[in-house]
Amino acid sequence: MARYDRAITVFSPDGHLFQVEYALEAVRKGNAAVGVRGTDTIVLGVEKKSTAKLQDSRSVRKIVNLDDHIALACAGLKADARVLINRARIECQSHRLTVEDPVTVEYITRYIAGLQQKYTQSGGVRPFGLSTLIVGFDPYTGVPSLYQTDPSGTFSAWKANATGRNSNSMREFLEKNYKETSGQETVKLAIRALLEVVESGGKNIEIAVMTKEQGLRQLDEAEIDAIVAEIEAEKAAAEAAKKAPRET
Amino acid sequence: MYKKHETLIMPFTIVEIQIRNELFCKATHKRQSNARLFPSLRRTHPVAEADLLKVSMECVFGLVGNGFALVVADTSAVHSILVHKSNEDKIMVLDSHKLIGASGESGDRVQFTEYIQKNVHLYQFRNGIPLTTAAAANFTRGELATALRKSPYFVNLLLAGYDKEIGPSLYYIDYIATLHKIEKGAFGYGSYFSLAMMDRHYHPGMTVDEAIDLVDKCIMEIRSRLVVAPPNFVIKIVDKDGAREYAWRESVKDVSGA
Repeated sequence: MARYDRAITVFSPDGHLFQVEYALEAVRKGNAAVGVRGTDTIVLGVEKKSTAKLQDSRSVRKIVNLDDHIALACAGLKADARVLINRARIECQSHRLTVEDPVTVEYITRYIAGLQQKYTQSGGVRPFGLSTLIVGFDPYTGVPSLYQTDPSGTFSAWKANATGRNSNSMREFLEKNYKETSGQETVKLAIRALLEVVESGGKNIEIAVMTKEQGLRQLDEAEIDAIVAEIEAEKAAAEAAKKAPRET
Repeated sequence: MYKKHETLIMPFTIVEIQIRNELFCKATHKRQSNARLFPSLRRTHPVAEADLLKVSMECVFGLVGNGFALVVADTSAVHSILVHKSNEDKIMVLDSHKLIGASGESGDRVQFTEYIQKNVHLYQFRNGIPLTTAAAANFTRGELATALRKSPYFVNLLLAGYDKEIGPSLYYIDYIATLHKIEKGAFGYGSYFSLAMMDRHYHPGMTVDEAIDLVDKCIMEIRSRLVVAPPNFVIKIVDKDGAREYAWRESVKDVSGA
């Protein structure tokens, strides 16, 4: 096997970093994650693998707080995520300690992306098999933002975005249906996007809503089920409305 | 220089100095005269030197009542004979249900308490639950103990907290990493008076009103008996509803405008 396929710090002759591309593949195989930015709320949603009968489902969390005003959801290798999240949380507190200010969403995104990039250019390491969605409110202006990072260490800002398994169909859905929303409407849009690719509805998704006042709040299963039912009712009504003119 | 301040040395410090000197002599196989006692200490223990030169003129004290704990601190920033400001808050709200009152070298005090605070927050993010007061106290003690043999912090702390299962608690932590769980405690010159007042008037299960009354007695005693009494005090409380500022006791308005 050719050397450049093994050492990640080496380009292949046609300019590829194979390990980074394999990491991106790991992300594509990982659980789906979606983030939608509203005017006063930001919603993160992830696909949840159905837990084993005897497993405590609360012990598996894919949407986490980095700081009071910053949350992160990710797609890819969960073991790598623990390390990345830990580093980011330390940086959040460290930033407060050194400059007496909370981090901005852009700052922590830049930090995480920087860390991911380092792991594509150092010896003896492999890249993080992770793509993250980072959301939060600016601690001073209160402006909501949503960023995405990937294993190569690039990052970008979005109004709504998806990553992980079937992220393309979710992104297409969001591109078609995105409107400036607020409150419950934002939550609904995120769940609708997620339901595009998740089969068994409310059971297999995890949703967290962030507002400026209350910070991050994980929705419990009953709440998610209620919204899913609402969405399905709307879908059925739309379907009926479509059929109705044909019948008459 | 050392002689001049000898009268300011607290008893326990003298004992520690002597033990240290003996250890030092044993290690170097040299006999040292008492005259060289302090210089040898200076090399072995910088904090003790700070203690020789400046026994804290601050007054920090606290007590545990029925369902709450109080911490009181003077608010003077003093250098030599000058008062730089009299509204310096020396009690930090560590997290939602913890207070940390600190006295000592002012730079160390701020640096150390902020460091502890950020680590307590980090724990909460990592684990999803806050540290108990006992855990925070032990962590703080550990940090002081590690620092003690490297570059020590000269800070004395009173850590008050409220835990759902345990109720209110108060911990005494000093700069040489002593940790005690206490019902009432104090640091600095003010401790001579506030400890005496609390010995006389404290009883377990005090109400907030009784406790504040006792605090006022302590402050009154400090103001009337201590030569270098600070003018202003801040009182903070922690109970089931969280940690917060309770009141100020001011006899001088701050003039620095800060």
